[in-house]
Amino acid sequence: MAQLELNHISKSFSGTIAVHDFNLAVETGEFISFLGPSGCGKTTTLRMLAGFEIPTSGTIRLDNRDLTLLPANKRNMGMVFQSYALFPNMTAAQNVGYGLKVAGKPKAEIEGRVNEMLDLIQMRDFARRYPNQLSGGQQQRLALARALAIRPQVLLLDEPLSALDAKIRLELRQEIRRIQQHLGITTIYVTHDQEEALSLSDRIVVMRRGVIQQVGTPQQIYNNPAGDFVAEFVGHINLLPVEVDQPRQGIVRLGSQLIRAGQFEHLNGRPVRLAVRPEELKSGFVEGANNLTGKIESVTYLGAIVRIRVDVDGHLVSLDMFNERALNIPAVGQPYAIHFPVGACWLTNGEKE
Amino acid sequence: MKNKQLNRKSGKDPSRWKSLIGLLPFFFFIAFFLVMPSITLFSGAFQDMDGQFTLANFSFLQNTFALKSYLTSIWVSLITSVIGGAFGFFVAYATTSGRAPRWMSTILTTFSGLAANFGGVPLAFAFIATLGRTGFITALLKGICLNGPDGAAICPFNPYDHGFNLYSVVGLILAYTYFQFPLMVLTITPALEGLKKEWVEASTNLGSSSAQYWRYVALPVLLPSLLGATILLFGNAFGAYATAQALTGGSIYLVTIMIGQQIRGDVLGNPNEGYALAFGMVIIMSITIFLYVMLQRKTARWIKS
Repeated sequence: MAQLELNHISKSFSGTIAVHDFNLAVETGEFISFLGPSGCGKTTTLRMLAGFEIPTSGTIRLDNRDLTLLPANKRNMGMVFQSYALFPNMTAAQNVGYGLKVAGKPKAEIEGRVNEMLDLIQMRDFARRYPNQLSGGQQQRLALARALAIRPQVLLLDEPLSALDAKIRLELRQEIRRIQQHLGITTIYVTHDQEEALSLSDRIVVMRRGVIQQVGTPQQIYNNPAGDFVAEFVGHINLLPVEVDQPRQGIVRLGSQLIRAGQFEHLNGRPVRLAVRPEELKSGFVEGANNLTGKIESVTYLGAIVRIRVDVDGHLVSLDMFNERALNIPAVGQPYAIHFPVGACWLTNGEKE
Repeated sequence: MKNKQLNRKSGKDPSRWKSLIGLLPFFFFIAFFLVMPSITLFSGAFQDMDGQFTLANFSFLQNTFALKSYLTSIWVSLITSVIGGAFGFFVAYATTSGRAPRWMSTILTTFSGLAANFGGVPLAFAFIATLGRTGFITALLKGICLNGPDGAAICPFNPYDHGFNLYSVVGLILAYTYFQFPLMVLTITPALEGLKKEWVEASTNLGSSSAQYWRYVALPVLLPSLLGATILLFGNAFGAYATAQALTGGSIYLVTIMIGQQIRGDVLGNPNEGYALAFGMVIIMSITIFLYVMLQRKTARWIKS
């Protein structure tokens, strides 16, 4: 039986639907990310879990106990906020011990747990410092320790890394995962950063306009996106408008060039688009693969990869190459041949956003 | 296009001195209306009418009448800063907590800006017109019946027959509170707006009650601002003169009224004694500010760190 269950959760604000019919079962120790653009309802759902918002309908159950209408201070869920929300008048140690203090725990127990938590985030030496004496990364680690000190059943993280710079974000991301796995605590993580969600999560819930689009492991979400929105939102993808040429052979046409795509049976006459990830495309001509020719439109360095955009009969196709020292970068405007395996693409009839 | 050049030696932009020219009127104002009067006051307190050094002006320290005026001034200032402060704090909290409609907070801010500066003779007149012996609220009260402590009806109800007197210390407290509470609203609102919503949520999420949040987080965070605002209110009431003079006609002895009597220029007045009384006020305010600084140091360690 799942530890945390959200059944048919909906939330409206003055007639505007923020979350609609949200269903999810979370196992003990699972790391779940709510992923989606701003306004998709991910934070609202998290706030309903924390008890800061009451669902308009539906139920929330934790260990088979109904929490739906339980006050936030009785839920035993630790929350980490985007803005850290540390109490400025308290030292690092006092912040971590706050939850235990208000629960009336003995001093010795508070001191022991505070030290344990500060050790966990490797900040024992900063115990007597005030939040304004700490860096953003240290403050967020402290906020994590404060949330964990009360030994919550579920850890809730609301875009905890958004306010930090890129390098710290990466370090802290790994630390969050390490601590979560070390404690085996069930965690719900809200983010709009697909890379964060993919690298941290056991499962990802992709949301859009208050509705779940797909729930799955990072691999399932990336490799088998349930629809154009998920495909476009998670990672980069080429979504190319194609015309059906030979339905029986599964062949479509991009401009004047033919592509073998397969899977026609689920399309029902609506506009067809061919989906293929940029990393599936390679330069050159290969017998038996889908081959396209065009002209280089632009070359962009992204560090580890180089993104090349090729104009194929008026349609821009992106291809990603690993940036090796020996890489021969093509010039803008030169003719270019690209290919990809037949099994790397799929057809969709979803409408473009 | 002309580029600004930095001074090679100092690395400073010489044009920044130009911006200080804009502050010249302020410096002149401070020099002529604060520094020079203060020097006159301090030197005058130690001089007799002929300009000779004397300590005789401080003989009021042996005068119970003068000492009582200091006590009354301190007492009235303290009471009105506490009552006005508490009232202002709750009003400001009600409008900043997000539960009151936005238009109400706009109205309150406008009213506070007006009322905090509405003192002196107009304020005294406004109170006389409403709560004076023939004021319209007094007249309204006279038209109704109230049940007394013994259950018997009191008809008509005249507050002046039951101990109320606008022209007394009680009236003075009422009038002072009128300009004290909006001043508190104006000074404490930014501090209340600085309380982050996430702090309440984080506190609640960690299992605290609302009372625990106020005790451990909100009040300690607000305390430096509350202390500062209360000192401001105290000083505001302590230095008030016109309202008390106009309302009570000088029948209640506050230090400011006594100073007024000394420097008004009639034959009984001695300006140098007035300076000495004012010097005493400066000492009291200095002690108050010193205590405030001490408390501030203790309560705001986390700000300075």
